[in-house]
Amino acid sequence: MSKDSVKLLNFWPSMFGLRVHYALDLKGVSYDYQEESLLNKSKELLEANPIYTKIPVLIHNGKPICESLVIVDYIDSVWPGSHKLLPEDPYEKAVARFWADFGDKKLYDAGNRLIRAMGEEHKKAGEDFKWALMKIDEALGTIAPGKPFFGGDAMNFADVGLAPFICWFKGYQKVGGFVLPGPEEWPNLHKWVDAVNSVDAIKKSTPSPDKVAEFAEVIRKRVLGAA
Amino acid sequence: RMGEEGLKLLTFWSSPFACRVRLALDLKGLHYDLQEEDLFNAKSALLLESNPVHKKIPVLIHNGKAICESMNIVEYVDEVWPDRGTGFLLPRDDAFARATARFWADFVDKKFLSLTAASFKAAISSGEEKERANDEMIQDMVALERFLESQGGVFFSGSNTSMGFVDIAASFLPWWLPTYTEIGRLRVPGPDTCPLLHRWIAAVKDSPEAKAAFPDQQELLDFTKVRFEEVKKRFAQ
Repeated sequence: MSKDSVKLLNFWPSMFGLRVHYALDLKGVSYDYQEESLLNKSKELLEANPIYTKIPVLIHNGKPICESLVIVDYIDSVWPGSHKLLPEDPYEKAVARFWADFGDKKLYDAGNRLIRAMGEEHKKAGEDFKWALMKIDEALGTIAPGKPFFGGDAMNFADVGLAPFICWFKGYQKVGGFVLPGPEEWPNLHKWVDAVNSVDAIKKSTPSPDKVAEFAEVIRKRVLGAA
Repeated sequence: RMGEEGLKLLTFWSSPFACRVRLALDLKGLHYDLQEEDLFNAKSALLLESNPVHKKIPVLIHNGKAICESMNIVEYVDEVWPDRGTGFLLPRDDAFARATARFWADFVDKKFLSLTAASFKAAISSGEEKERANDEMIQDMVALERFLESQGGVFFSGSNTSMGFVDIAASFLPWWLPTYTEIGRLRVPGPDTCPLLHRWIAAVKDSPEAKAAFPDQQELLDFTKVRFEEVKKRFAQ
């Protein structure tokens, strides 16, 4: 049987691309990496994702899979291995999917507004971002009390869906002009952050929060300059 | 009726999200209680307890547990009752086919059920901005047409007789397209540009399960007309 060809097209600060990195790295799948310049997208990217022309795209044996959570689901199906991301139980699976999707609906949405919005809308984005993290703190306490991850002792689909935002916390706080509450207020969240950051597979591909913060500030400056 | 005890769907008659879950439940031949929520006055205690994060319908309650997010509910139903009624909604044995189905279900959500969608922007804007957004929306429908073509059947599932995951995701379109044209004053591609999509629309409207799950067209139009004025005010620049 010939070796699988696995390639990830990504842009280094993308939390969506990071989800794919995490899924592959947690499972120990080898893959090639291609950095895309968003201002000069490769022909390969445009052909692999003609609908959105966006990263991340996973190309597996020549077939492209797009949309980060769809990709993570796919990875979990094709390489179940020792680290299964989706629980077997349909209800627990639905809960894991809900929280991964929460990353898109609430965290990313608020974070995006922190970078691009002005005035009152910008202030609200900060409130919404904090609210979202508070919900995650509460969820961790309900779903996996006393455990470090949504998946209990190991990261699951929900953890992979949400963890990529951690390296963006510094950047969001900088452009938002606020400081996130500490472990006294959000004990579960902070334990989760520490647990995620100590996983070797996670350390492998996570960009430095300082670099991400610098990137966030560059975009924010551009947005403010254009206003 | 093993396992269906206490199956309950919290719904709202004109929600495309809730109606498509009803469709999935009916296609599976499941028996459930329908609880209509009074979204504009007072959400029920059950809704607020079951979906404390988003406080939105639809919510499926099964064995006392709440499942939220419409396509999440459809997947859950497909997993718990894989062989019931119409059979599998998501392709069972092919991970790539499953990923393709999820991608296109998500496309429908992004392009027709999201506040950042061109369809929404086109509806609430005017002049050149409206026309540009409308053109983009038409391109989105052409993309759906191309995907439908590639699937080789009447339905997005590829079958000529049974609906699948993407069909359910898009199942509200036959009832909502008239709201786009009559209330949003949008152009939609006709059978000349999108023949397969129009054939699909007719097939969905013909389905007894879909007819039962979705609201009366005129009632929906009347309701949407009223809501649209409020929405426009809220989102107009």
